[in-house]
Formats: sequence, structure tokens, C-alpha cells
Amino acid sequence: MDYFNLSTEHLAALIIFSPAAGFLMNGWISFFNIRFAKRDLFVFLTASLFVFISFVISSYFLFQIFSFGSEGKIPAHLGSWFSVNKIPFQFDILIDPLSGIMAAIISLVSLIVHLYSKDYMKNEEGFARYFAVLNLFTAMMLILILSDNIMFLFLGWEGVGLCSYLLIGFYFKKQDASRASLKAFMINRTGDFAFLAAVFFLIHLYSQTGSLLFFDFNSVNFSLTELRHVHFSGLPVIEITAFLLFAAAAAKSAQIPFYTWLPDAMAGPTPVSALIHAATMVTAGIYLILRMSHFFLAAPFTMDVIALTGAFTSILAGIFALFQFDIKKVLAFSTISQLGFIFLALGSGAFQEGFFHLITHAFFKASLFLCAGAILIYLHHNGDMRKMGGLFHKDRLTGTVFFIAALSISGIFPFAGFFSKDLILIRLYENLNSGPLSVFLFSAGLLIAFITPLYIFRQFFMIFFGKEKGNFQHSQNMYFIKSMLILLTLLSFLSGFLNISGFFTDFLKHTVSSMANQGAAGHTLIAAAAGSLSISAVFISWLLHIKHPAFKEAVIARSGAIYRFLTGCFYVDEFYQKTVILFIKKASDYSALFDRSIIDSAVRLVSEITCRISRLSHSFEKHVVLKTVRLIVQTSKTFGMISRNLQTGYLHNYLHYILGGVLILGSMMIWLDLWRKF
Amino acid sequence: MNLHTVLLTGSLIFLLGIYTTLTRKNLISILMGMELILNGAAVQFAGFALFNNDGNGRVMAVFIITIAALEAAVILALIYSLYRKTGNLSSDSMSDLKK
Repeated sequence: MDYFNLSTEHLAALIIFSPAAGFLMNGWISFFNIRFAKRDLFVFLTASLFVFISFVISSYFLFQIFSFGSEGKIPAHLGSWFSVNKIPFQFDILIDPLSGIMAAIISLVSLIVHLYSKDYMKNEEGFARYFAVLNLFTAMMLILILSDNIMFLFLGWEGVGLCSYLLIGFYFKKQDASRASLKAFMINRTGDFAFLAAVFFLIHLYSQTGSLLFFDFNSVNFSLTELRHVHFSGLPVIEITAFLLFAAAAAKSAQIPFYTWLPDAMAGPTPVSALIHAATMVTAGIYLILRMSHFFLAAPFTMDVIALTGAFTSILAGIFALFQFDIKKVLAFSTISQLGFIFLALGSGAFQEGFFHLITHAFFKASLFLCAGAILIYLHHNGDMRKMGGLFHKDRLTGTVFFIAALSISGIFPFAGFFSKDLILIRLYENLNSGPLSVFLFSAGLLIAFITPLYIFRQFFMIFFGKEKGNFQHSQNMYFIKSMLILLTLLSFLSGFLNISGFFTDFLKHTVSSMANQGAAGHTLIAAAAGSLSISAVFISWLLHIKHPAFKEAVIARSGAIYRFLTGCFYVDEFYQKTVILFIKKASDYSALFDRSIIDSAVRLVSEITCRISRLSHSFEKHVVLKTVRLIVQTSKTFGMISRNLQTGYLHNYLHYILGGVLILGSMMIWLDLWRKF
Repeated sequence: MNLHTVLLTGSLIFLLGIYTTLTRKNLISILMGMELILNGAAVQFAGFALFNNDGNGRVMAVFIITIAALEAAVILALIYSLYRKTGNLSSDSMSDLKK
């Protein structure tokens, strides 16, 4: 609390409130459809400015944290929310190395996407709405990142889900976009359910430990391993909680079995896909696990589940990506695959390395998506890669950017992906001697390192080389798009060097937990093996798509059913349609039947009874109450009629009354006197 | 002459006063009736004082006469102002008490 003072608090609040203010202003303009000259320019400038403010402040804080070292912390109290059972839930934010880096990256990518959208969304209906929701998303994501307690984080968690829904359904007049937005929302709701359940368990644990609701485990004066003795119906609570949190993270970060929403989410505008469905929101699940890394380390079973889920998701999504034809769906599956790879790293205890890969991935995946956006502008938003080809000579800039990003994601030296992917593989290699699971995880890591270049270079070759196809049309004034592409390329090239001599992982060592280094040799060997795998994959891809495309066609023609199975993504969506969704539909049918037959008849019975009772009470009212009232009225009227005659106002009448009164009083006194005497 | 005669005379005057007050409509007559009531009471005081040889009764009789004079003065002024307002002296026109 040494660094705590009022001005930091206000500044920290501004990180969140600045884009929120942008949302309010642009949302106001959009909602009431206020028209004025240069409205779009105004909206764009203000939206970008608000995000820029966020970016500047969060980088300022990041540098401040950096000067404090890896244990640096800037807490800020924004206000009180509510308190349950003496557990205070407050609008507290905490800037430490993890959240500081994350906030800076989120606001940077958001800023880049804002600027990119200027050209991409030009003359689009709902320009103001788009920027308003983008601002809201940034604010919510920053809440999620910076929050100090799990309830405030949940607010951001729900908020980004909402923004994702709104932006996937941005072209809500299109059937598939609105369906995709609903699908994403529903699947995320499932995860949110798990999240809420985990929150309840955390509150349950809070009553026993005193301070588990908050992430700051270093200040907690009990050991997390002791918590393993707390049981709930036979299972350790810490495992249940960690598993539920992981389920929430899997839904948000599109892992098995929840991943199906992400490919469909590509129905939204491409910059949105870059920002929300590649660089930021889908990393929220990973961020949650990173935040609670100490907690997760105390739950080894869940860690294994995380690693296995990550490995399977990564391999499966990589295979799906190989057989997609939509330019954005390939990237969507690639995102799922890379996120799975990060989950694999997290599950094996390589938290810092996973976070590093998250950052490099944010840059190179955003740049891939923004390239795809540029290509889609040229080709009138027709995303089928079979109708593309030979674009490299038409647009060398986009081609080069795509190429560099592809090299980066493939993990080829010296691009960013090489460093981060290599770190993870090294950690997997170091864990090798701890059972058969670790062998499987390491081989899965190598397999992913092999598949990634295969699909990304397949895409690269299909778009940029081969026969010139497609109705290509150069667009003018794409300065924003071009400059943002160049900026992102630089970032996806340079971000790999962040971890030169362990700088990055060192910075995080107090915030994010790390398993003890087992100190195995052969790091260069791993690097060389992974590098050669990647390069051979690129070479195979080149062979298949450029050198001998006829061979590929022949293989495809031979394996009809398998090929259809692969292009159909193993029919997972259809499987869900037939099982889960059918089950839900049947269940809702039955519950509708139940509703109609039992609840409705109960309701009807109740209403019938109510009717009877009211009829009874009506007749009671009519015959008893009304008559009583009338009687009372009549009586008081009669009395009034009688007594009004007394009030004549004539003087001598009053004199009569006085005399009468005196006589009565006098006779009473005499009578009393007599009575007392005898 | 004894005490009974005096008391009967006083009571007679008192009842006549009440009768006058209740039956007459003219305000002046009512005033006169009220004076009779007061004087009937004063006669009784005087009678008791005379036969019991008590000075207090005399003082009371004088006091009542004084009160009656004051009352007559005040009420005559009131009657005059009422007359100026309504133009007659009938108590029937004085029905403002109803309001």
C-alpha cells in the first residue's frame, strides 16, 4: 500500500472509464440516431481517442510497475459494490505485472483495431453502433483484466460475452450472423453457469480461510495444499472449484467441448474477429487460469484435465483448419488450436510461457485476421479460398504481412512465435520424466508445431499463389488498414524478443506461479527439432499446393468419405445438433407439455377458485357490506336531519337550550345531593 | 315580613325575568329580562343578609347591581351596533350564530 495515493486511483479508474465514456457517447449518438455533419469521422475519432487514453495510462502504469520490479503492485479502490455475509465485494482494481501487461496489450490491440476499422467499416450502416460496442468491449475487457476480486471480474466476463454477442450479430439482418451470435451467447452462458458455481464454492472456501476470494494469494496466511482437506460430498473442494473455473475458461476460450461457437462467430466483421475472437476476449479464459495459477497448482487433477483438453483441442482444431475453405474459418480454427496449445502449456504448469505465447499470439493472429480483412475488401467479402489465388502480385504489402505472421505462428526463427512456442515445448520436454501423460503432452506439442505451419501455409499458398483467380478490385484510401498492418507486423516480429534472457518470465515470477524447474538439458535440441518440424511442414505445404497440386487433388479424389468427414469438422456440430441440442429441445418440449398440462391446469384451477371466491365476495359485498354502508349513511343522515334543526341560529332558541341545560345540571346536582344523603 | 316572603319575592322576580327573556323577541326586552334575573338573585342575597345579619350578602347585592349596570352598558352598546347593522331590534334577525 506504499504506492497508494489519490491520483493513481483516479488514473487507474480512467483506464476503465475512458472507453466506457466513449461507449456512452457513441451509444447515445447511435441509439437516438443523432445526425450531424461528419458524424462518422467524429465517432471514429472519439472512440479511438478514448481507447488511446486507456492505452497511454495502462502503459504508464506498466512502466511504473516495471520500475517497482516483479513484486510491484498498484491497488486502487473505485468504490463499494455489496457485501454478503461480511465478505465485501468491491470495485477494486489491481495492477501487477500480469494485469499491467495484459491491460497494455488489450488496449493496444483494441486501438489498432479501432484505427483499422476506420477504413474497413467505411460507409457501413451502424458505424456509430459498431464503435460504441467496440468501446464497451474494451471497457469490459479492462474490467476483467484489472479487477481485484472474482465478482468484479465476473462483471467484465459477462460484459465481454455481451459485446461478443452484439458484434457477431452486427449484421443482424443476415440469418447466419444472428444465429451465430445466439450460439456464441448460449455456449458462453453454459460457461458462465460454471463460473458462478465456482464463485459460490470460492465464497464457501472464504468462510474457512478468510481471504480466498481475491487473487492475491501471496498475502494469504495459509497454504493452499491444506485446502485439499476441505471436502464437498466426497471430493476436494479445491478440485471442484478449479474444474468449474476451467469449464468457464474453456467456454470462453473455445476449447473442447465448447469450441463450436468460435468458427461461427466469424460471421461478425473481420476487425471484430481480430480483436475479440483472436486477440483478446478468447484469451479471457486463459487469463482467468493465469490469475488463479496458485490455486490451480493446488488442484493437480484439474491441471491434467486442462492439459489433456488443450492437447486434444489443439490437434483437432489444427486438423479442422487443414480442411476449411473459408478464409476466416481457417483462422478461427487456428485460434482454437493455438488457445488449446496455451491450455496445454498451462495444464503442464508452464504458466509464464503460456502467457508469453498468449501475447505473441495476440499480435500475429490479429495481424493474420486484419490481412484477411484487407483481402475480403478486395474480393467483395467473398471468403472462399478456392476462388482466390495469385494475390501476392496484386497486393505485396498484405502478402508480406501475412507471410511474416504465418512464419511467426509457425514458430520459425526469429519471429515471435518461435520464442514462445519453443519455451512451451522446452517446459513440456522438462516435464517428460513424470509419467506417460507427460510423454503424450510433449508429443502433442510437437504434433501441433507440425500441423500449424501446414494449415497456415496452405492458406497462404491458396490465397497468394497459384493461378490468378477472383474478382480483384483495388480499393483506394486504405491508409489506416495498411499502416495498422505494418504496425502489427512489427509487433508480431518484435514481441518475441521480449523474453530475451528470461526477462519476461522473470518479470512475472511473483504474479504467476511456476512449477519448479527440473533442469533438463537439450534446449537447443528442442529448438532445432521444433524448427526443423516447422520448416519441413512449410516445405510439405509448398509441395502440395504449389509444386504438385495434382497429387493433392488425386489424394482428395481417392478419399471421398474421409475427406468429407474432415471438411465437415468430424460433424461435431451435427453431433451436438443430434444430441445436446436435440436433448434440450426434447426436454423443452416435455417441459412445455408439463407446463401446458400440469402447470396450466393448476393455474386454471387457481384462477377458477379465484373467480369463485371473487364472485362470493362480490355477493357478500353487494348484500352485506353495501347494505351496512347504506344503513350507516341513512342513520347519520337522519341524525343530521334531526340535529340540524337544533342549529337554528336564532338567539332565543339558544337561550332555551341554556335554560334547559341549567335545569338539567341543577336537577342532577340536587339528585346527587339527595342520593349522597340517603 | 320574614325570610320566606323575601325569598319568594326574589324567586318570583327571577322567574319573571326568565319568562321575559325566553318569550320576548325584542332585544331590549330580553335585556330587561336579564336585568330582572340578576335583580331577583340580588334580592335573595339581600334577604339572607338581612335575616342572618351577614355583611357579605350586602356586599354581594351591591356587587350584582354594579355588574348589572356594566352589563346594561355593554349590551346596550352591542344592541346599538346590531341595530345599525340590521335596521331592527328583533332577535330573529340575529341568526348569525348558525354560521
